[in-house]
Amino acid sequence: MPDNDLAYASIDELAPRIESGDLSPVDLTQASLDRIEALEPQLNAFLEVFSEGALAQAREAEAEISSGGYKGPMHGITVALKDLIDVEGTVTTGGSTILKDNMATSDATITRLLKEAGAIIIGKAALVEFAMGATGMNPHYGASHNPWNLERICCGSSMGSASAVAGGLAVTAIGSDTGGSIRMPAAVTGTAGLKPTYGRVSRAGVLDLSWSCDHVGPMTRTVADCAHMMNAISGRDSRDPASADQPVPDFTSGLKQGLQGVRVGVPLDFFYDDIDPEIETAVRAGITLMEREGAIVREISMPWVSQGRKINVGVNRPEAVSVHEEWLARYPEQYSIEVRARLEAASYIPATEYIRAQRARRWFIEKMTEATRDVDVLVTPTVPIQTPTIEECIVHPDGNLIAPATNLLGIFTGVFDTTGEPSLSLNCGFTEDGMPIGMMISGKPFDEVTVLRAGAGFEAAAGLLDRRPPIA
Amino acid sequence: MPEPSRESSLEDRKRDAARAGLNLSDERVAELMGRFDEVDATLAAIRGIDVKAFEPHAVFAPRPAGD
Repeated sequence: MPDNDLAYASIDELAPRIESGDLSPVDLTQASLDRIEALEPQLNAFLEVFSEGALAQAREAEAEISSGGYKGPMHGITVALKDLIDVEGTVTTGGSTILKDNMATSDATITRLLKEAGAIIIGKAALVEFAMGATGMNPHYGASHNPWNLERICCGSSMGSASAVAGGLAVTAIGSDTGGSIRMPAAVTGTAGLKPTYGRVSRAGVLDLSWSCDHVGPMTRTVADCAHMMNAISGRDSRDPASADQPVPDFTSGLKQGLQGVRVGVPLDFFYDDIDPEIETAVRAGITLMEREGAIVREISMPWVSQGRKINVGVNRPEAVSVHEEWLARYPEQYSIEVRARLEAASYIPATEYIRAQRARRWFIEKMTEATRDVDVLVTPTVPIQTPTIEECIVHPDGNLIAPATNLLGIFTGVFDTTGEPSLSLNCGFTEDGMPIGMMISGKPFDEVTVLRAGAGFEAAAGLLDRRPPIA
Repeated sequence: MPEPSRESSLEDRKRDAARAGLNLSDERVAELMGRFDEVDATLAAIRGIDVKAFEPHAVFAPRPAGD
């Protein structure tokens, strides 16, 4: 397989070759490192690359496999970790300068689980400062560039994770999602990103943004690869007080079942109001394809659903201010213009308003549960607008404190951070100028298997995986 | 530049921020007035929801469907 094909191979393609000894984890890791060396100057996907450490891990994996110790599909697979996830003995910056010397003294639970599964930690991916932003900009370390068009953003906050996966710099990545930070970057880079159910994947050792809205999850090139990663990283963790004590299924179990009989809900409200026409056309075409493949599609009235994003903001902003209280008072000048403005403007929110938002969240969850009782998944666009350019998202001290796209990008994704339900973004087509369009499939709590099944069924029918960004 | 706040004075906002532990200058508060308004709009929308029947769950945990 030529290097370019290796760079864009899925876990399903790579794992059998690694298990059989046909492909060495060392060669796969070296291929990732070579791509990083060649393309990182254009993409700016990483804050740190663990060249020596990754190769050492790969050699260890090679030795284990050759002596009969193959651990499963993640063994020997390269993973980029968003740089808010601790890796023992390395710095976790959170995309900030305040934490530029923040040495991790132990692995995050998700890091430990990936290492135990034999994955190769290739480096720390770039992110929006403290994961607080939708545009994928970071004035301290620069924006990550979109492999489909280097002048466009990758969205945020997991922009480096998305850029690395879409650019073939790593097979997989981990991101985090408080208002859409896994799914927005996945949508605009033509990759798959799964926000698992809240509590499904441990947050221990991951920098907080908003305790009750933070989710950690996989970002990959295929839906099946998300499932493989979920098998490695899911489960109860006593280090995370919100970790759920729920049975962990085999997340790959539904991947080959297709769409026959899957009940798809299409909201009549909000998600298709005032969105870009090309995005609407692509997502509706996707739903038609799902129906042709056997899904049972029905429209659902949910006139209250736009409140979901507002509740998400009403909860996550006061929590973020609380997380940042000390730093904001001591080092305000070290924050970027946009993040500082959002935190300072939210600092006055009274406790009663925060509690009201949490009560409204229970109201919203009950409404959503009732409205979706007779469907398995909801299908919606991931983001409402076409991918802005980096230039359009730069903020200036004497101009807008917030980029105009910031408040638009997350209006759909935030709904499912409020409910905590699993939510997947995957590619469903391209704009006329060649940018990926994301479709979001969201399901019932702890039913990632059905969400992944629906996503894999669509992906197989749509046949979009062979299209690669120009940078490939 | 951001629009001036419709609802509160600069002094009100400065006092609010000080209560939250932030020592913001008049200029900084003036810069942020439009952002304060956006936060206000979000809170006002949530205030429109009848939450009397619902308890807050600061540590929030969804339950499987049907549970």
